Amino acid sequence: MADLIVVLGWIGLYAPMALGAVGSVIGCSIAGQAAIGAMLDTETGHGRYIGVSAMPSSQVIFGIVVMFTLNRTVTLANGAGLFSVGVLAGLALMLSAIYQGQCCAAAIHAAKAKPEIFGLSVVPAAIVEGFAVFSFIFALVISGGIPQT
Amino acid sequence: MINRHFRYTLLMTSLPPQPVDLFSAKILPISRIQLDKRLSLLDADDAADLARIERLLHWSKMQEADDVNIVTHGHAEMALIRSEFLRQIVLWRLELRTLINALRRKHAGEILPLDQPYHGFGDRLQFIRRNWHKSDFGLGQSLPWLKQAWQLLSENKTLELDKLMLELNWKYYARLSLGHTFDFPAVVLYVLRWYVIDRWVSYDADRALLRFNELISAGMADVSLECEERP
Repeated sequence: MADLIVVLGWIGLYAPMALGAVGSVIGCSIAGQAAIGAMLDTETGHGRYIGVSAMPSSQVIFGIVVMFTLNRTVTLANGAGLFSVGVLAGLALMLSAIYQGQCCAAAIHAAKAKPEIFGLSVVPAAIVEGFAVFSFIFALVISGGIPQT
Repeated sequence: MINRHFRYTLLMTSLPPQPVDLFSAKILPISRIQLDKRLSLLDADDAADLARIERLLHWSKMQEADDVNIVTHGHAEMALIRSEFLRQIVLWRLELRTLINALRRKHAGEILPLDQPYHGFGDRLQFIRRNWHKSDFGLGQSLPWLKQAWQLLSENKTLELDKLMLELNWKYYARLSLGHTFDFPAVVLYVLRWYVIDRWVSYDADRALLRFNELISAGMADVSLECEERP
C-alpha cells in the first residue's frame, strides 16, 4: 500500500504537465485545422487565424508550472496529496484545452463568414481559458499545504 | 470520439459560407470543380457514402428506370449508407419526391387502381393509395405544405411550386446542420444545400435566357417587317 501511494504521488507530480500537453495537442490540432481550412478560402487575415489556433497551447505551460510547484521528494505523507492535486489539475487543464480548441475552430469558421465578428467570436475561447487559469492558480495555492517530505 | 466530431474541420472551414436565405443567392458559393477538389479530403468510406447519397437524390447522377426498379434499387443503396442519420435525410427527401410525384399524377388526372400497390418511399404510401381522392391524401395535418403544393399545382404555378419545394429542402437541411459543424454529416448537408442553391441559381439563368429570347424575337420582328416592306 505504501509503495502504491508513492507511485501515485509520482504520477501526480507529472500529471499536470502530461495531461495539459495532451489537451493542448488536441485543442491546437482542432483549431489549427480550422485555421488552415480558412486560409484556403480567404485572401487576408491568415495571421489572426494562426494566432487564435495557438490559444490552447497555454494549458501545457500552466501544467509545467504546477508540476514544478508540486516537485518534491515523494513520501507516504505527501503521495496522496500530490496525486490528487496533480491529476485533478491536469484533467481540468486537458479538458479546457480541448474545449478551447473547439471554441477557436468555431470562432475561425464564423469569422471567415463574417469577419467583423472576429473579436467577439474569440471571447468564448477566452472564457474557457479563464477556467484553466482558475485550476492553475488554485493548484499553486493548495500545493503549499502539501508536506515537503 | 473527439476525432470523430472534428474529422473534417479542415474541409468544412475551407468551404465558402452558404447564404442564410436561399432566394438571396445569385451565384454559387463554390463551383463544382472546386467543391470536388475540397471533397477529395474525405476518406474512402465517407466519399463512397456521399457518392451513394448523390446518386440517390440527384437526377443528373441517376439512371433511368421504372418506378419498381427505382424503389428497389433505392432501398438497396440506402441500406449501404452507414449512418442512420444520413439514411433518414435521404429517406425524407425521397418521400418528399414520392408525395410530389403523387400530386402531379393526380393533377394529370390519373386514376389509381385500388388493387395495385403504389410505388415510392416512406411510410405514407398507404395514405396516398387510400386517400387518392383527397387533395392532401389525408396528410394535411402532419404535412401542411401538401395543400399549398396542390393549390399551386392546380393553378399551374410551377415555378412557385418548385420554390416551395426548394424552401422545404433548404429549411430541413438548415435545421439538421445545427448540430453538425465539422463532421461528415456537416459535409453531406453542405453538398446537399449546394445542390439546392445550384437549382435555384439555374432558375435565374433560365429566366435570363427566356428574357433574352423575348428580346431577340422583339428585335427580329422589327427587322422582318422592314424586310417585308422593301420592294
